[in-house]
Amino acid sequence: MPVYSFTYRPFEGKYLRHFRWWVIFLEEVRLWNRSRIFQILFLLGMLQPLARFLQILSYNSAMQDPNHPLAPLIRSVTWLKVNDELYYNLIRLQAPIVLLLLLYVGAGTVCSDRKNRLWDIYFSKPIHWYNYLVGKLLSVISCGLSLTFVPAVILMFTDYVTKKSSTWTGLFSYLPVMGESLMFSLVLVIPSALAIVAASSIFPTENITVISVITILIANTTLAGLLSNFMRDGNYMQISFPVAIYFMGQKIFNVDRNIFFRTADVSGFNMFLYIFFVSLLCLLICIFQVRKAERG
Amino acid sequence: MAFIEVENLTVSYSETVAIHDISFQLEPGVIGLIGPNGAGKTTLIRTFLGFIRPVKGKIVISGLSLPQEILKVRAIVGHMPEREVVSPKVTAVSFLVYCGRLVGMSYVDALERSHEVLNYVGLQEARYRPMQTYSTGMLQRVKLAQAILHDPKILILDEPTNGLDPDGRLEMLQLIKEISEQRNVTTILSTHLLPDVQNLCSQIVVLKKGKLVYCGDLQSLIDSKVNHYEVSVQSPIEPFEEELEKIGIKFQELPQEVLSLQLPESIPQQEIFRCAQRAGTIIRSFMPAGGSLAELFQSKLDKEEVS
Repeated sequence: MPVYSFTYRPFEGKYLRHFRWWVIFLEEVRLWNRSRIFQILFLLGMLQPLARFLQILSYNSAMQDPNHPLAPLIRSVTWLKVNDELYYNLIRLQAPIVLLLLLYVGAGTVCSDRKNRLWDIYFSKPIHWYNYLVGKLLSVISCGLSLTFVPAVILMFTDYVTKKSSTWTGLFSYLPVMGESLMFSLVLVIPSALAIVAASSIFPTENITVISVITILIANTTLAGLLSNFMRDGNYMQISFPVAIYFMGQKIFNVDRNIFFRTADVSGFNMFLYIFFVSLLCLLICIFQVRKAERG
Repeated sequence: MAFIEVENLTVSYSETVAIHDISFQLEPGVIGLIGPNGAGKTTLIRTFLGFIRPVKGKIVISGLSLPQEILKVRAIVGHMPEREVVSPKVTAVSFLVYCGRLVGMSYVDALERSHEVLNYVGLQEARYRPMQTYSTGMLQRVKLAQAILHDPKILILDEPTNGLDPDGRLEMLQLIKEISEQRNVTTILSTHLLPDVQNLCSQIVVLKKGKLVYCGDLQSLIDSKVNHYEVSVQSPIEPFEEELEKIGIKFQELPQEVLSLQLPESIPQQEIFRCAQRAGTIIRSFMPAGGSLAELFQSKLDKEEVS
């Protein structure tokens, strides 16, 4: 006499053998998409792109209409100009909210699975550690890009559409700035995502992960400030990871601004190597921790 | 060829040897994996799942070699881990769909089967509730559901009745029995609860300190003890003991004037009654001894200790 009158059928479907990381990626995206905090942070992150959207609309309409009442004013304000620097500023100013959002979605990616002992189940399925890690990392990276590169591309398209003299081939003129935006977005998002996921794979809970990442960032920037003061050399500021990323952005967009620090003596290649090695270190930590998890 | 073949398997954690050079073969059926704490049961299960690479030896499961074909093995194995697993903000259906997709099912297949298996394990009403609101028994059922979701050939259950109340335990055992008997799923049941093993298993593997103590049919192990009896006789007991000694029956005195007898193959049971008759005493009770798995298990472990 069975306990329940229900039963289940033998499985006769087909197994998909590739792209298991895609399943993990989708699940992560699904989970944080449903969170109210994520939605609020994301909307906050969309405020600047919205402002830039209005800026492009007003600038283009004023520039193309000599009789526009606001045209003289808009012409005289340099920061309202729509040029490549607009996209640099967009991504640069998105950095704080991107960091917040990445901390929110990335801090629990690995540590909550460990805390809830889900690894015992996940790794008993036919997946490898790299499927797991790629899925998790891509979900965090895509979240960062959705606030940097994606709005930049939408704004470029808006600029193209609102220019009355636009031709179809004019779209190609956006390719260089699109490449630069992608590069800067990746330089901003990938190291941050790797650092947060690495911290998540080391620390036991989401809260400790967030506190640790923020503490490390503050300590890193404080150390850079102290060194640059003691050594009387502003180039030491670039030991600070956020400064290094801003600096890389300047190099990518060929913008020269020294508001808080002097950057003249450090080459872009050296800064790239610094960011690359820090990212590589974080990636190795992630790989080590997740492989250890798979092997019990 | 046996369904599960283990040959000269040695597994170690850095310098600690957890499983030491064991070999056995198992046929399809329900297999009990028993042993005291630290015997190497969980290590053996984790080795079957490819979580741990053996230092030495060979494992073949359903014709698939480990660790070379680990993904194929994992595709035919359902694993119910020992520890409590919970995905807090997720409903049981979503969790199972995710597990199904990890195995390689399409979304539609995974969703359909999630509902079926959740109904089957008795969570039909609670399947849309977040898992953080589940009781221990419900979480055990979710673990079982995700293990059977992809219709595996082998089910590995690590302490499946842990934390369950008596009714829940019986229902879980009934489910395991149904799954293994009706769906021909080979089940490896790792547990400390010997009555569960006695009720469900046809074969057992007994481990102690990483060494194999016994592997084979449970019934033949129990049958090997059929010549042991416990006899209670009316006082005085000494004449009866003398009669037994005369015909070469070994015995041991137990409390309350009970004798534990071991009958050689050549001597029939009736001879015990004749001894009592000759000693002028009456047999009060006569029953087979040492038939419970606990006693057999203990005697096997004791033998291992001596050797």
